[in-house]
Amino acid sequence: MSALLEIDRVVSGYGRLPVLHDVSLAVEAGEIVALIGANGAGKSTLLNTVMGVVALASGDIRFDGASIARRPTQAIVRAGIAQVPERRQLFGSMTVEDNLRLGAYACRDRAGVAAALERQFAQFPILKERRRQAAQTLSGGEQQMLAIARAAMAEPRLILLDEPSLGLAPLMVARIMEQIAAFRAARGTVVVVEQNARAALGIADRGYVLEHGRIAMSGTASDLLDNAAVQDAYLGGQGGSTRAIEARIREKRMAILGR
Amino acid sequence: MTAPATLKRRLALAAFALPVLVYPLAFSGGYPVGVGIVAGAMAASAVGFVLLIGYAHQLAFGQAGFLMVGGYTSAILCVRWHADPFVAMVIGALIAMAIAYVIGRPIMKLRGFVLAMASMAMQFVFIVLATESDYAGGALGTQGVPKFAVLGIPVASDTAFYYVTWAVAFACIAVGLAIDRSRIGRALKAIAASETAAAAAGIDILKYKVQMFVVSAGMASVAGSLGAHYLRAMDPNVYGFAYSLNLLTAVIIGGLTSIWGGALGAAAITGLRELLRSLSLPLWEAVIMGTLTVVVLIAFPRGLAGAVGALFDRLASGARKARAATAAPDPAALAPLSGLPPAGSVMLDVAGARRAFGNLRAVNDVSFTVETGSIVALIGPNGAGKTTLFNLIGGSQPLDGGSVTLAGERIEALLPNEIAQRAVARTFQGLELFDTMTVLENVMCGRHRLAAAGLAAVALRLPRVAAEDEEARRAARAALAFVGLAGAEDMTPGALAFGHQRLVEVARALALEPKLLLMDEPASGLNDTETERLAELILRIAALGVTVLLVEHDMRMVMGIADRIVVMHHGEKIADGPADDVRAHPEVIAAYLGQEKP
Repeated sequence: MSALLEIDRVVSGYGRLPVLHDVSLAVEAGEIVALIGANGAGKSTLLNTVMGVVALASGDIRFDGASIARRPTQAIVRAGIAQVPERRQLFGSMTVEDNLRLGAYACRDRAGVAAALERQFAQFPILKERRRQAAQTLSGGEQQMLAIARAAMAEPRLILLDEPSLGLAPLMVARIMEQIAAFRAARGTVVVVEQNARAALGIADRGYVLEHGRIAMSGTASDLLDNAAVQDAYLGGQGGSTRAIEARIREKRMAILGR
Repeated sequence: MTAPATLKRRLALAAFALPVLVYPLAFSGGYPVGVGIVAGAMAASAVGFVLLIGYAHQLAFGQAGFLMVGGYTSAILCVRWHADPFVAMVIGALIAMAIAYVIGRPIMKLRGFVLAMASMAMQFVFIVLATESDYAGGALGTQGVPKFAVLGIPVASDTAFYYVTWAVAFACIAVGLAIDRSRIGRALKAIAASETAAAAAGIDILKYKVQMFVVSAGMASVAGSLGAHYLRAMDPNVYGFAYSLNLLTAVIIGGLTSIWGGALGAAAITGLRELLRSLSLPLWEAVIMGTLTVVVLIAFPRGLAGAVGALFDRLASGARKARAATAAPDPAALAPLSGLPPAGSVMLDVAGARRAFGNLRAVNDVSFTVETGSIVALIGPNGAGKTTLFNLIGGSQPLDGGSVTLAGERIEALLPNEIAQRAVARTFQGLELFDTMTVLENVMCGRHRLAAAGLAAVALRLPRVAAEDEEARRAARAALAFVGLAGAEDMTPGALAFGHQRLVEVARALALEPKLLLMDEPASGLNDTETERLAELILRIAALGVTVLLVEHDMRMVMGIADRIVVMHHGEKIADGPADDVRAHPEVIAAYLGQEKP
């Protein structure tokens, strides 16, 4: 069986400057795949290339066996891929419900939209509570939930999440990660780009490490979490557990400030 | 200044001055020289207009009103009072600048189209006043304006007047260029890029907008005077709305981001208009002008000057390809602050702070203190009111109640720039960098409060302006070295990696020599390794004597660096104490931390 999403030797970028060099990866149906890497490594560019927002210079992208390279974005959305962009990009002055309905904009079936809306409200009860509120009045975590729910409205088979934990409190990061896992449990497939590599690898099955526009490493999530090089670069060094990092910072404080 | 910038300025001067000098020799005869005079006068006013629209971002549709002020002052003083034309021109400019100053403060508070309409209304009032005034000659205007003269020396020939006009235009360009590269120019570019960050750097936004309005009025008035002497008459229709529109077209085509753009656009528009007129296609003239304007704007979004400048940059940048900015931070680059209140005294005292948005109590009776020299973290769930509280302290939002005291002084009623003037610096969660300036210039903006050169000193290029600039440059370099960005000075912030951009913001805040530094989620978007480095940097900042108050979600950083942690939930303070106390606080665990995984 071929993978749901196949990215095949992709080169892409902005203007004449390629950001991605010969990137290949595959996502099986039902998987959560994490893409980690430094700022500017090309993670968001990769998602934008899949969505047809960034032009493909060479290579191919196949979804469910059919090439979607150089198709317009709306055709890619109709094929069943939805993106949750970085910083959420909600329609701030519109209500929660209108934001959700716009997620199913391409769907002409009113009963189907109503059913999708109810499903999202069941998944995210807080959004039902706030359905008449303007999106910009939601807290950061609620906005991220709304962004995910909006993307899920079109009933995509694959969802691409760009930095869902950005600017969120620890408790909220945990909730969002639970929601992503719940989406997969409902037979969805997820690619998640994260700066918070620990949180993303915590829910992912597999992960890829992007460095300077190239895949530097790949493996199961637990292998990557245990990998020394990954720990050094993205998880705050070896033994980089939360407490270990805090302890090192405290040591530095003692050395620098003497307290 | 780096060498390419100097070379660019010299080349621009040569490229512009040479054609202006030889034009009358190449095209002798009254008519082409007359066209050159009209273009020169427009160029003078266009320089001021670029400062107003392109630099201060104030869109005015009625700029020709100030040309009327100059034109009428010259006409009336010379015809009725037999004044010297040069003296009359200076008086006209002073009157125009006085009018701009008086109406400037209220008018510059308006924005966008409201401002555009207000300035148009101003021009309309001038036209009505001129038409209705018998003293000014009513609708027929004042006739018999003499030829121009400078302090008794007549400017007899058209060619001589051409050179005088362009000398005035170049004087305006020289003032414009001096402003461009001064702290005022940096302040204006900062305002255009981000008013929030400009105010946080201590820049008085309204003051500089009004100053550019005054400067542009003076230059427009001078242009109006020159025009009146060329036409030998002044009536209400000479500088009507059509002229305002032409001026606007000229600066847009020429390029709003460059002082040269205004003069270039004025020459291009005037030349083209006369060329089309000579072809005797009255109906087609407007169509061709309109089409060309649109074509130029599509081809060169930053105008003709912008296109030429970009071409130069591309040629020049071949030699100095962007270097990687990966110097190690140099903790010795900045000296510890002096003159601070004693350690242990209260640097910041927030008492009973309240702020509501409709029914939502974003900040509800929050009180806490920050000791001098300490690091205090403000944490809480998203929507707890942390950023609002930050805005109340920084002055960007007013309090509904309560007080904020900085080192003994109440500051809750002050504006953000006034608080920055009192040595409070700030960094932003979503980066607020000035993208049109280099990294070094961004950081130099942080020095704004520590320099004093005003508009007059800058326009006259007084020596102390250069000395102050040199000092600002030195301090900005030191701040960049401190954060580890030595080598990135000449890059634009957009060319840096995200984590480095954040460091530029920190350097800009440090350049202000802050006694209190407010940081809004500095670790947001950084990976673990970068976060750890940032934590060390904040500790080194505290070691300089700077008091730090930060909002942050990264608990490793917060628990690691903070002397005290204040926890907010639903707009209220629920905990306040050292890291380990807060970590064990049941309410904090329920609202914020969740159960920590081992």
